[in-house]
Amino acid sequence: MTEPVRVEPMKDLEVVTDPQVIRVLLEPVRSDIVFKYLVNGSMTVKQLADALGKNPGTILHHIEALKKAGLVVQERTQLTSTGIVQRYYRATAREFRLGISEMIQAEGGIARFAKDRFKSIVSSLSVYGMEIPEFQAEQATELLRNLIERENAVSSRIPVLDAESYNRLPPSVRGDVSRIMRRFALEEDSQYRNLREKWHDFLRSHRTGGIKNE
Amino acid sequence: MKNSSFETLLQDLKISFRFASKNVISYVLAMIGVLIVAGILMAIVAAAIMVPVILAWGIEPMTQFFVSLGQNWSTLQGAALFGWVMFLAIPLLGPFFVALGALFGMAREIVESDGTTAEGVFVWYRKKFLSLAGGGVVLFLVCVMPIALMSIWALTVTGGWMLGLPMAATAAFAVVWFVMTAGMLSMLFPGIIDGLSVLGAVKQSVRLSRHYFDQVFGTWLSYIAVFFLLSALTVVLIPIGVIASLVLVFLGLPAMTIGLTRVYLILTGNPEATETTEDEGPDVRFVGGV
Repeated sequence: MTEPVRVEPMKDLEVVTDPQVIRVLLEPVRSDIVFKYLVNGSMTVKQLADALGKNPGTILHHIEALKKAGLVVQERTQLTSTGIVQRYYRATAREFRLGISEMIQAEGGIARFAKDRFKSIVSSLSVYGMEIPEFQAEQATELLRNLIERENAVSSRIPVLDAESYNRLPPSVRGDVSRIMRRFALEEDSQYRNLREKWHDFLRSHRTGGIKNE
Repeated sequence: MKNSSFETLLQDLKISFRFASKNVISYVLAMIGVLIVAGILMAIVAAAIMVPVILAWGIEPMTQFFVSLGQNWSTLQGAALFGWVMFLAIPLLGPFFVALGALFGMAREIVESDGTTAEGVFVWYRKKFLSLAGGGVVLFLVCVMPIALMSIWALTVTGGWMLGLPMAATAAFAVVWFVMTAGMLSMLFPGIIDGLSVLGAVKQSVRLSRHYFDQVFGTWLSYIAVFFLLSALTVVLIPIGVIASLVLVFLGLPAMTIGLTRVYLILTGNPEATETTEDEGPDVRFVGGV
């Protein structure tokens, strides 16, 4: 008999750095499949097709592309009473973050998408009373980008010492524990603290109203 | 689920024919459509080979070349014979291999999600063209080529008249060889549709047919038996034969693709979830994001 296929446990956080994989995730249907559904649990092609209002064949092709990119795995197989062989798919991580540097350096649409998104984030801070003038938008983007990159780097390499027990934890507990540890790891990282301080100083200097916690 | 018995095989056969009949319209339309596309592609491939040859040599020398090739066919041996069969058959049959493979794509949609569409076949045809063509070439080289070569060799040895024992021996070899090798590679197209490379799918198919010999060969042989029965009806009873041949093409072939795909999905499935979690209340988080 062959060995049963061993499915790797779901990672807590994965930073996607391969431009090809980023490209796969930026396709709207694929991003819906991963971010709306498969990061939360396993689903069949039929269930995804019903949820997204698409043809099962179309979903199957998307799942294949996501499997090839290493974003989705086949979790289990179930035989129904009607003879259907249902395969359940889930994401390989509970949370995916896109590598900012890799996106900026990528060719064509991805770099433009990343730059536009940063520009939009910076200008949108005005709704909270952070008025950042156009000539300082580039500086804001740079500060924010460095901060996010450091956060991703620190958060994605927190070691789990007892992987077996970790994988047995209920998803909600695992999520809470992971968040507590991520906060702790970030606070422990001097480079992150330094970058965060710079970013916050920048924000403070552009605050025209809104939050005042003191 | 992965073990086989006569009852299981019968049940699998019933399920595959039920799915095939439920999707018969999609299959009929898809098969007609994909055959037209394959025919057009075959014509394009033939033209791509012939037009430059005609332009370079002219029609007259080329006609003479093919006439002389036909005359000397029986004297060709070994590598030359192999080369010519490959040169002529593979590019021309390629689009049809892809067409056959694309039917396995439809079968996958049916087996995994209980539904398919006629246009779905074209998506598989386009997306998996090279892999399915490669898979078809492997099937051709392993299952058909040795039989063709042996038949040609036997005809050459007997001077073109093969009767009695040589004919019986060649026929027996052909049947056993085809049934065994095609059975061993019966999981090839389902593997390619599942995203494996041609080589990966060949390995997977051989591995599955070794480990689950009864399930894979049992399923394969049951379709051979059904085909044999329907083919016999086609030949023996002319009025029923027409219906039998239609059933064979538009129901038997789809049922076989469905049955083999179903076996593939069952055998490559992992029924036990490896990630078991402790029981807990509702999935509510207490700690917010960073």
